[in-house]
Amino acid sequence: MKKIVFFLLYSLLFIAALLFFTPKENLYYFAEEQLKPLGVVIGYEDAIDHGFTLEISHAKLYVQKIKSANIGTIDIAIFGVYNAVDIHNIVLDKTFEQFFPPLIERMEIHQHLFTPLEINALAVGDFGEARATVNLADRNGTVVLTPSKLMNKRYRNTLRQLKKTKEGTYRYVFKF
Amino acid sequence: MSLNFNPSLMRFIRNLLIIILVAKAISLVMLWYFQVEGVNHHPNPSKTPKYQKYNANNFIKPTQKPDIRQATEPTSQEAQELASYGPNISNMVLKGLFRRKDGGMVIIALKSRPNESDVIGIDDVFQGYTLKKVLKNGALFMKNSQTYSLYFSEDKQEERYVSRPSAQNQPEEDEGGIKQVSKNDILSYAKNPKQIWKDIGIVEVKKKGKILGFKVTRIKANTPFARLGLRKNDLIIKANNKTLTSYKDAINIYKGIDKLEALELVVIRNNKETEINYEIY
Repeated sequence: MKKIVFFLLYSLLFIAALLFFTPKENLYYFAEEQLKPLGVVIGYEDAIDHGFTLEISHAKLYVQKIKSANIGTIDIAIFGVYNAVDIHNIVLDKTFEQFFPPLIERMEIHQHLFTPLEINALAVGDFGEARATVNLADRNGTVVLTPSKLMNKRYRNTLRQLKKTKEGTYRYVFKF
Repeated sequence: MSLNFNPSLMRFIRNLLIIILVAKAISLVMLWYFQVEGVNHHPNPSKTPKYQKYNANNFIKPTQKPDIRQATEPTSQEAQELASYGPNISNMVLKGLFRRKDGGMVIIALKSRPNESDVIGIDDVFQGYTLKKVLKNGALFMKNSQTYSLYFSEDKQEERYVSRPSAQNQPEEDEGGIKQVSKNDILSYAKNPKQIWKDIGIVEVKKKGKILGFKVTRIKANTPFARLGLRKNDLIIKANNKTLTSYKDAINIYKGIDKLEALELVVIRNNKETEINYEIY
């Protein structure tokens, strides 16, 4: 019994040490390299390693070379059993403000060990609230949007692209 | 003097140090393997001079700009005639209209929010009212099988003539084969891009992962796009001498459209390259 306890304790300490020493900044840049062929570039950001988490601030997001958004902060926490990316203050570029309210206050993306093939996301902003689930096994995803008054009033054309449910929310299903 | 240490504690510290060393060694291997620098966006400054279209005809004869104020003023008789179709919609204001024999569209807003105007075509619904017909000085709507009319109010005369497109519904074409497009049409789309996607459907056409151009998949009849001479299945490959090879190129044209004085589109139609020229007045 004592040996098992020590084994678990040492394992935990090893994982904690590994997480602490992992070059998170380099891993982040490596992930950025993987996004580049998809046309997604996160540029001009400051990356700060906080030991167990990585903070990215003042980033500009480009999609297909088009400036798409300014991002306030991104907190990345990869613990293996629980992984989370919290993004705050996403301001969409003016080009898109006719289609979508520009401010997304926060976006939380979570994945944990119990459902490793499922990623959940929650976004809150001027558009209202959106919850998304992505199933990596089935390669599909669902977004359920609860629109704000502003979204209902000024962005009806965008909402028309989504399927309205009986509850008054809007649903978008996609495959990848 | 002899020092006595707890052997269990010593063992624990030793193991802890080994763990830390192994973790650090692994992280150094990772650091060596993931030796990459951050990716940044490097915009290529355009060296292409501002697009300008020169037409020899313009040197000889100045462009005849149609006077949009030449539209006939509504008479009280016409207003009465409109009202005879059904009750007037009191909570809305008609800001402009654009009429063809077989359709048209109106610019409309709620009186409570006059600055938030919407452009609607035939059979589009606004506040529960379905636009059925665009008349000379107003429009007819249907709601719950009842016909309603909406016409320009007296105090909105000025606004009407500003926002109303040219009295000629077709873009004018001068002797040089250049179509003339009202800046108001362009500006109404620039201010309300949602309307673009209502009126026209465009998808990118790719070959081996590279964008060849943007194909017109759908074009709504009686809209400014239809009158621009674009047709379904046209593949737009160039705009103002700039080859459209990315969404960025298309967005750049869109961003600067309100400043353009001329627009040249090159489209592939029936396997033939066709140039369409517009002068924006």
